[in-house]
Amino acid sequence: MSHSATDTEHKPYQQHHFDTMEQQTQSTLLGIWLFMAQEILFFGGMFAAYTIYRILYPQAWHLGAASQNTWLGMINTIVLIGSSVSIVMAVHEARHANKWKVMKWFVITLVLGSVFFGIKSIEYTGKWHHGMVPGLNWNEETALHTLNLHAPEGHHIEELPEGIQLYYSLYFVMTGMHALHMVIGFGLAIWIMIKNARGCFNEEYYPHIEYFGLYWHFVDIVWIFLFPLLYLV
Amino acid sequence: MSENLPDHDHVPHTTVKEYMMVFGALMGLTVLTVIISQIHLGLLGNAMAAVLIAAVKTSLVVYFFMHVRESPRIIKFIVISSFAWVSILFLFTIADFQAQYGEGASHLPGAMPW
Repeated sequence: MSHSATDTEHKPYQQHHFDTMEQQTQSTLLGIWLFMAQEILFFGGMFAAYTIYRILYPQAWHLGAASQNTWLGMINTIVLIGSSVSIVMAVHEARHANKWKVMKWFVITLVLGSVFFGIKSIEYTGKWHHGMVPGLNWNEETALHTLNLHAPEGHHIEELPEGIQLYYSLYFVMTGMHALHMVIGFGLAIWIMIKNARGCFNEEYYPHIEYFGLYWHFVDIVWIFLFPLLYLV
Repeated sequence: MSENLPDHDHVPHTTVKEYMMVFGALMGLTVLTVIISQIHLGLLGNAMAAVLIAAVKTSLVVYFFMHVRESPRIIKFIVISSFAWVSILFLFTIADFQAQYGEGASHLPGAMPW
């Protein structure tokens, strides 16, 4: 290969334990994907718990999902997919070493992420006020009232369905873990933006940007499943 | 070293136009999943439709946005095997619980062990 000669020159960003930049890039990509694989298993466990309790307590799941605001969930889905597009654009610009365009797309991603958080906090606050937070603020009376308020035609209930607290527990744990991943993502994004501003990246070396993109897309994928499963069905 | 060349060298990078097409498809599928949820297909039917659409959306994100189409074969292998293992988890969980306690299961009422 013609570029093997240049590869053997040690660039400042090439770690000494890698022979070539190609080897470093391949190894780190493999590493980040193995991290993704364990993230899939991490969320997979929660989705499995969701599946089991959904089968055991169909009525609780049915009324729980009906009590969610579909519009807020849908807007958040669109916002999050939008932020996936903006981060993919950041990676695209990083490949062409357009430092400030990378910055622009990172800012857009963070703005969209903040919109997501804003909507999520409206939803969480609403549930708190209705006494629908198991373990912390659970009020049978107001919870029953809220469920009946949003129940589909002909589904009026006199008492809370069995397993309803499990639905809300899983709702808070799953959306909470998802939100925690986003918070971590915010921290990482700001760190990468600082590195980018300092000129740490070029068209050959931008792994932080590329791998942050992978992480952010993964968080988006989790939401792609959470939205229909918690809000719609 | 030419025989060790990673195959992603031969796949051109995804273009902005292609990203936008994927974005459009994801938006369309988001609207579709909301519309389908309003149609009554039975508890299982609605759930399956929702999961199916989410799976299609995920495939689009993974293949285009996460650059798996441009990535070496080992990455494709990791992606497919991760989802395959998770599918096994769900396949047996659903088969077991659905058969015992699901809609239409002939199990005795109150047979849940807890």
